[in-house]
Amino acid sequence: MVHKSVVHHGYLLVCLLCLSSNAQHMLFPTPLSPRIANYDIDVRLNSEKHTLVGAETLTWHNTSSDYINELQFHLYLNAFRNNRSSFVLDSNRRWSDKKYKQKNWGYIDVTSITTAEGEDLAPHMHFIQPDDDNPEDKTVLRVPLPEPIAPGGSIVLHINFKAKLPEPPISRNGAKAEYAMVAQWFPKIGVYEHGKWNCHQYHYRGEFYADYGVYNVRITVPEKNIVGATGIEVSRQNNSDGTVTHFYHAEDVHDFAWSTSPDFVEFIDQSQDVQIRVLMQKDHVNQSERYMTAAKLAVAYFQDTYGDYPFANLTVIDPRRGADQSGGMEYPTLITAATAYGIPEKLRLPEMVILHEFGHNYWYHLTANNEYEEAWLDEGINTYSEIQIFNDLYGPTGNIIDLLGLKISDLQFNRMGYISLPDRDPIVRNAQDFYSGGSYGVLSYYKSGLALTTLQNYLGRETMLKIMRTFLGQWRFKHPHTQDFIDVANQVSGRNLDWFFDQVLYSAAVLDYSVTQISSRSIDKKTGFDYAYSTVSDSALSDTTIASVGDSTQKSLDDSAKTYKSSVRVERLGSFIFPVELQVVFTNGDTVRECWDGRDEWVKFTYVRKAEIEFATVDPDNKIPMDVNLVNNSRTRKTQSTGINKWMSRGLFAVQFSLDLPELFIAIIARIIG
Amino acid sequence: MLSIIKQGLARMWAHKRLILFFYFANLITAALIILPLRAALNRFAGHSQMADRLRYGMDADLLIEFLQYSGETIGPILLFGLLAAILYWLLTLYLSGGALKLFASGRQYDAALFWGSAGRYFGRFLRLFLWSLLVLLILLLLPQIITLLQRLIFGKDPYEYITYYSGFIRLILYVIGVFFYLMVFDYGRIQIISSEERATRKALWRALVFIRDHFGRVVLLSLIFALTGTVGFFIYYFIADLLNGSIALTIALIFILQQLFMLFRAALRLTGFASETVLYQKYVMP
Ligand SMILES: [Zn+2]
Repeated sequence: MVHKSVVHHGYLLVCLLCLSSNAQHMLFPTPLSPRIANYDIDVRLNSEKHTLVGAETLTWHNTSSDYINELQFHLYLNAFRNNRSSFVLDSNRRWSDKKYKQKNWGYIDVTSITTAEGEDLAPHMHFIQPDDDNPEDKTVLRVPLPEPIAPGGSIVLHINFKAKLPEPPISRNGAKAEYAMVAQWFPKIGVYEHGKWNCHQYHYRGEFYADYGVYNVRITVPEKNIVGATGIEVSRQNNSDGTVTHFYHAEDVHDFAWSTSPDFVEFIDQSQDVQIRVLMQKDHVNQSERYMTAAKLAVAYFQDTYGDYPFANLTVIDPRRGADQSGGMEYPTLITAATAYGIPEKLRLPEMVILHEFGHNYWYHLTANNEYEEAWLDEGINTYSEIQIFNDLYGPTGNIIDLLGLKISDLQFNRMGYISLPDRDPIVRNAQDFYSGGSYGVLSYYKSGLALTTLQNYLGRETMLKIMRTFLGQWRFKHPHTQDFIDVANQVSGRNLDWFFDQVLYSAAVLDYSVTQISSRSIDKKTGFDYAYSTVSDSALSDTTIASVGDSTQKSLDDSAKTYKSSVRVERLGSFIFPVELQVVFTNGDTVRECWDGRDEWVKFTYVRKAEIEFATVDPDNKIPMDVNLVNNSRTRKTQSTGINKWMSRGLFAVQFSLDLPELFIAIIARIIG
Repeated sequence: MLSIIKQGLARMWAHKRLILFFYFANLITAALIILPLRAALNRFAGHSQMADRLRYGMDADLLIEFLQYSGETIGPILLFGLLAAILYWLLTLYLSGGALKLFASGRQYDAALFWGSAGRYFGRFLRLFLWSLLVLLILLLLPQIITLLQRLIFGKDPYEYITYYSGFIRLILYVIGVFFYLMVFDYGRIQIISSEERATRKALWRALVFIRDHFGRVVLLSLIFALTGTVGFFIYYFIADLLNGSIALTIALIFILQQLFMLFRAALRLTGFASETVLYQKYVMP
């Protein structure tokens, strides 16, 4: 990990040498990514009106083998332009119903667009709606070119734009009073692949997709403001009008976000070779330690577990009160957190957000999948990482909630979400095409995370780690697709795992194995033909009959126990097929393990033993968190009433106690009325 | 004050069977809510090895699945619970008429007097309750003053810690408000019984006047009972925590302890009624 600090120091030297000139800055001597879309942007924030005025120079390289006649740009801020945008319509008008005033909406207008040669492209530019033909949606701009860009060729465009941030922030970005989270804010070119532009509109569900590049961004804000942004701050310049221009430089990233506020309180620390800068809100300062610790743990864990984080720094933005929607999001080298004043230590939600969002600096910022078309590829993989990290850092039980005797782990938290809506869609599907927002979230995050955890338990942790590292290694700074991940998994594990991924990713099948019946029946009493027929009482009979066949070898002296024929029936209640283990425990302590490929609807195991079955459990080692019903995984002969009685007697007491608390009822009624 | 409580205790003890009335009303109502829940849980997990984990602590997987897969059972049980709670409240209101009358009369237990009074005053108590809601409303508006003050001082966009702590202050004021309301409702009932007042509005007013005139004593008495209840709970909790275990015996022991605590609470409540009656009689009808 020495190379990065070397690069970092070398970079500072370069900067010092060339500060006065307009020379090219350089972080990585050899580009880490293809650097297709490169931006130089000057942007000025009016922190009262929440408007942006920007001048962007885009240098775009045609790495395809096509002649390209047009460009397509995302104008994400137009999602908040009015109540006719696809974003607002998709949201079931959640925002438009709140009587929005002028200051609440946001927009972006391209005021001019010219080529390097000065040719004006504005007259022919127009909005298109590739996803839903909603003519009112202005989130994708099509710009026809006078001359095509040849394969291997490049184009330089000068774009001027005016924008306004929504207030308060909506869906990741916007402003609130003096605070601004500026994301998805500049005209951003789509991805040209497979002979066409991939440039989705901004929808209510689903996220982003972009090519890597180099960003030089000059951010002008009021002098008193503190700025946090993607990349490294190269210089700062005081202007005569009471503003300061912060110059940020980032390489091999596919997005650029920034935030500013005069009220940020800055904390700086180091984790391995990464500098961490936390910008806290004043009223969250007492949680800065929690933020910093989580960020440091995240950096160290991911570097140690999955591979190098190539960037020199990480900035954590703490959203302002009233700007919650700008929290919990990932950008290259910058993440937004989320918390609330007074949140208990053992409720690790702030930690979860930071660990999760930093995870995206691997799964999404290093492996730049299409989040709109294959959200699972970063959200699911990242959720799997999150489950692991919580397990490893905070222990397997109660690692996310440990309050009032209730312990919930991140794994359980994900299961809780998953079983609420497990089967409406396959995982691989365009975000907006899911049954509901809930289904999109449940499947892209929870189910995917649980499926990869199940796969890890199936293959073994070492193999799974190898898969993850290989995937990261092979697809670093590229655009992986679902099949690429499957190919890596097959190749590294040396197995064909298509059967697993087909079910997980391309079907809505639900996994549920259950022990549906267990029985043990004494077979000592032998009657009928071949056995002595007698009318004596049952107990006498069984002795006589055994004796009559002269089975002296089986009925040895030390073994006076009865013989039982026992059976266990395991059923597959869902359509997801997965090999399972079965553990059968007998009353004398004997334990038997069985394996079943899980293909048939059911299977029955029978035993003839000197003991009855006590209980049987399918998946006894809890290797399959994807199983939607764990309670039915085991079956006992006797009713397990002790524990239930314990809780029910507590419940009884709680109800008794509450019944005599009129305060409680007044509180409930007041709540209902108020 | 001590002598008032002593007298109250004596009057309560003279009618100690009332403890059982109140205790069983409470137990039966709670059981009506909990038993269906227990049956549902038994049906869902009674034969699962996972239920065994409940002996050691709450199991999140089981809880999550129970809530997810038994939603159709739990919903109606909760609704029924709310209904049962309202009925229970009405029942204790009914019983309180009998109890207060017995305490006021200073006589030996007399079934006819008890049940007769319970029926006789029930309607008036209900009307008193409806009128007293006005008092409650005013008391519950108190916390809103904090909201208003917060608005005035810190504006529309206060720091989170201000909202957080003003929430606490609101909660405290809310508790105080309810504490006063319960006092008003108690003395209103005592006033109805002592003066055979039919106009519940007047009774309410006189209760308010009484509380105003004897503010220190009235509040002190209520505080003593509230504190005794709290101390009792902590003693219970301390012992229960020591006993906490995973075997049937400790579970049964805790159950018995819980029920002893509930008996204590019923007794405390009745002693409260009796002491309030004594206090009222001492200062209003010397
Ligand atoms: Zn995520």
